[in-house]
Amino acid sequence: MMATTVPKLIGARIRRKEDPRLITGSSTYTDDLKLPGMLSMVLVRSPHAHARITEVDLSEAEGMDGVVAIVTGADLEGTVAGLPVAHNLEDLKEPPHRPRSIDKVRYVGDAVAAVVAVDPSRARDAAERVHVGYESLEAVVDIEAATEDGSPLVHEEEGSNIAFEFPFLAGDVDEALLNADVVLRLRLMNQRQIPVALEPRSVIAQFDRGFGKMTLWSSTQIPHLLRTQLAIGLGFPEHSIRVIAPEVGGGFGSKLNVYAEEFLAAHLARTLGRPVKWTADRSEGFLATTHGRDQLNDVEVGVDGEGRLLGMRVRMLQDLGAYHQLLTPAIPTLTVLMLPGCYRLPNLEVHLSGVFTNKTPTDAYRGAGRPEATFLIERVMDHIAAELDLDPAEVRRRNFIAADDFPATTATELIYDSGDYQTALDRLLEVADYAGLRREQKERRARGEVMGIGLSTYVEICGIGPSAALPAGGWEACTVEVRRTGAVVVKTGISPHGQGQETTFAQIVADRLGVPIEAVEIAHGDTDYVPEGIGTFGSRGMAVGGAALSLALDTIRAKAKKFAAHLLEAHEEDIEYEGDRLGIKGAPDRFVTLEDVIGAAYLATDLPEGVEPGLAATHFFEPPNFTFPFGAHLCVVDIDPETGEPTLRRYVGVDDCGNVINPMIVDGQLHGGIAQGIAQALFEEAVYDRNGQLVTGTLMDYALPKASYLPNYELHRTTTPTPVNPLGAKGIGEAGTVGSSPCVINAIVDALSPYGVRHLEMPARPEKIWRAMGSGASE
Amino acid sequence: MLLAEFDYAAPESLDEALALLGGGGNVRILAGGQSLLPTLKLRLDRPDLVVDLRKISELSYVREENGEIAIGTLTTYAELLASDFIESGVARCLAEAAASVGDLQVRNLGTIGGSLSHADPAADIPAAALALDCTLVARSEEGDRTIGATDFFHGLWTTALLPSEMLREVRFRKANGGGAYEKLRQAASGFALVGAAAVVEMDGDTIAGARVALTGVGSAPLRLHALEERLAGETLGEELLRDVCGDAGEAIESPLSDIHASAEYRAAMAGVTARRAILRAAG
Repeated sequence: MMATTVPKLIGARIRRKEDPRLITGSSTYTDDLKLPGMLSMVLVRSPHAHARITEVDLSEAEGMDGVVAIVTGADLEGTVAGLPVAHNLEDLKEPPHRPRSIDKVRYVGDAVAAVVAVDPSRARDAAERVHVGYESLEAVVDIEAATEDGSPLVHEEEGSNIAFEFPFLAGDVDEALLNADVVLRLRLMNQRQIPVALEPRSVIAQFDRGFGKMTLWSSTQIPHLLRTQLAIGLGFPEHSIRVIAPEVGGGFGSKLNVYAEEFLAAHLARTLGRPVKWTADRSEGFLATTHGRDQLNDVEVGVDGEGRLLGMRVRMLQDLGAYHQLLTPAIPTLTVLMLPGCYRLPNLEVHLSGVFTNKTPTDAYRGAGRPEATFLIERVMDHIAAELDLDPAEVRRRNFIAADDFPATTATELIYDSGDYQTALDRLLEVADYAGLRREQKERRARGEVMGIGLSTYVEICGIGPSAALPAGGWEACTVEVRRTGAVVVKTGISPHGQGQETTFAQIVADRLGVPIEAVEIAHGDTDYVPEGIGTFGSRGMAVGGAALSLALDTIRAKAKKFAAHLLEAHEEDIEYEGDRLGIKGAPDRFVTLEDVIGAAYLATDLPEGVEPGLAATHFFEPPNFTFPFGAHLCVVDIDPETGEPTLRRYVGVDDCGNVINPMIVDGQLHGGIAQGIAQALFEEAVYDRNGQLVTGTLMDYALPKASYLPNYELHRTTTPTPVNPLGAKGIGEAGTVGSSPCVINAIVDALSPYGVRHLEMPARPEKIWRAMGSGASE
Repeated sequence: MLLAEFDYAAPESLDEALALLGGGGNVRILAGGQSLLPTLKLRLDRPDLVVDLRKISELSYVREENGEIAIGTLTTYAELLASDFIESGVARCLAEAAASVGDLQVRNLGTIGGSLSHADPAADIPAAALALDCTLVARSEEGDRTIGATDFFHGLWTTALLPSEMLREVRFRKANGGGAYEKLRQAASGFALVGAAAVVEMDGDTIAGARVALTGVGSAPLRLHALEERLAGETLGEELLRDVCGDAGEAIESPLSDIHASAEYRAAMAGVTARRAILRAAG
């Protein structure tokens, strides 16, 4: 018979299986759920950045219609633990982070009391009538001032606002700078940003008294870690806690956390015996969901006369905000690790200080520490080019780690898995017609126009990650169950919330087992249904979660072959499994189908020797290393010389995330990622005034870009598989964000170089650009 | 997102609405809701009564009457933009201003009367209303009262309207000439960082007359009378416009300064947007 050829789904542009329900609004988010007897929780939040609580008067609120309970921080003491922080730092100051403050409030939005009422409006009305007495204290806002002696202290008992010092030294930077032909100095501020997921955070807790079981629905990226932390924080046995992450409308790292509202809702559901819901509104989310970035870097870099990096020294200050959230202090350590970027950097000295201020805590935000590193080193590259009058592409070429150097060990002791940076850059320069753009720039400049071309070449650390490098496990788990009717259920420990793994995982299953993609269900986000997992963050879904899936599929295929061999009376090693057919090598008419195998496995009337019934497997994948996706980006910017308004005319990317399962989804991740990087470069900035008030407290002042502000993306790829996992996939969730901010700023600085401009802080608003051109230089 | 409690009425006639308006207390009018609802959700305003006008269909129209274009107060931006009356000529400045408001959803709900009555200092429509020298018709239980656009805007969210009055109609003369609106957008809100509306009538190469107004720069939109006088009778040219518009910002008493732009930038951009608007309106 003819061999059937089934078109492979891995590598195909398959439309996302999850989209119809998301687009038509027929899926269920946490706030959509209504449980019988459910109560609403609203929090009383501090209007002060820094104040002592002198009094909490509940008398008026407690008497209001519909109010069921009000709890203050003091009520929780001894019952509900502080919020967790996961880290590997020595001597980290860990002041208590209570779910409700008792003595002091430390940022605008810090919560003082929780009001529970029969509906949200009544809860909110009552929250307004909780009278809190505050004795205002001087706010710690400026990160440098916070480190000085005599600064007011966010946590007095710690004696300093510096929560930790993280010194790092490789080689001899003093010597390198001494021997350098040129030493450049830069100061780079990576501004604070507010993650804006479409769905604000939301929690429902329900306690079943009969079973003693707590069920928590939460808009979270990490249901399993949350389950464990709830067990620890509330003194619950972990088997009595079920965490469900229903549809989650985006996270970008801001839902990679364990939040006070999750602890509080669970505690109140247990004590009140009724379900309790809390949903943030947008403005509340701006205050009480973690922010991102906010890092100040002073850089000193030495190069030889050819523009080659000799050594770099970085003084890094990370604004932590008022408390540690789950990964707050860990984020800037990722910046330190990735400072060498794509380049050979033999000598590196970093001194990182994490600093408390009276602001919302910072934590992971798309890229989480890596955009800061890439921004720094890519600005350095362009400074070198400007100083030595070299083309920025040439400076990069001279410093790249060579393709035959992989696996490459960096000064920061990372081992880059695989890469070919020069090929990606060459491809970019070709597809973008870099030479032609430079010619065009020359012509336009002669006509008085302001045009810039920006480059960035990035590498990032993904597939997070080896457990040894993390505070709480970096593996991932997956169960595959082939059901009797041929349906396949995948239970993955990752918790996708927009990344598309319901499609990409199903593509892999369809190819590897020979079932239609429609027969595959990817289940996730329910700790009772999917018992183990870590979650979705750090571009790990495919590289780690997909690898666990791959291991489980290997086991299923091997077991299926055993059944096939038994049915065909052949040797197991002679069985070939192609499409849905398991046949004997070289005997094309002797085969059984997967359906036959499933029948044999579940009827179990004639089992092969030593083989159990059923066709299911569970695997844990422990990655031996991180993955290191990379790429090269270019953009073209035109600037209105009279107003300073920049227009991104072109944006071209050549990205390499290893093997690609679904190019359409990879493109989509890049589109969103690049948009977020452009947003940091041009628009977004969380602004606090000197009293610690968040000035950009709504979307009327916090400049989230609109679709019309963004260019079309021209995306290309090179493919350098990773040896770190069986799929060869590296991850693409954050690459666009990591590569794009420096690309845009480099383009703007390039455009302004005739005005003598060497740097511009983000976001490059029109006024900043206008001033850089010399205040209304319209001639 | 949880509003404080208030009474709500949705009258079906204008007279009924006016009676409610004259009834005392803190009464707010709901038209398209694009400014009122966010304010209520943030609990920045706590009205006793919200009067919803949307059942009064006769307040929504664009029509020509006695050589004037009349726009009903409930006309949405989208309805206005669909009208033939504002496609060309001087009214072009109104069309461009309306097209630059918010996004499609806002333009489908927000109303012309709502924008003018709310008088946000960075709203687009007020600048166009000034450049068109609109007549605003206020109605109370006492009857109609007409107010010239230059007398209408008093300051931050304040107008000549009395508590018992509501804006019923906006009118402007169909005149010769062209109109244009130029805007630098505040990236977050989409409101004008600086907006300039211009109406220009040409006589050959000579500027027969011009009206120019700014928004976003001060506590209220303003007409640039001095600039208009300097333009009248002059030959249109790049140099003239640069000269005349160069100090347009000086007409602003105390230019706004906030995290989005400094007073200096706003003043400078007033000149740039005014010049560009005039040039297009004249073309």
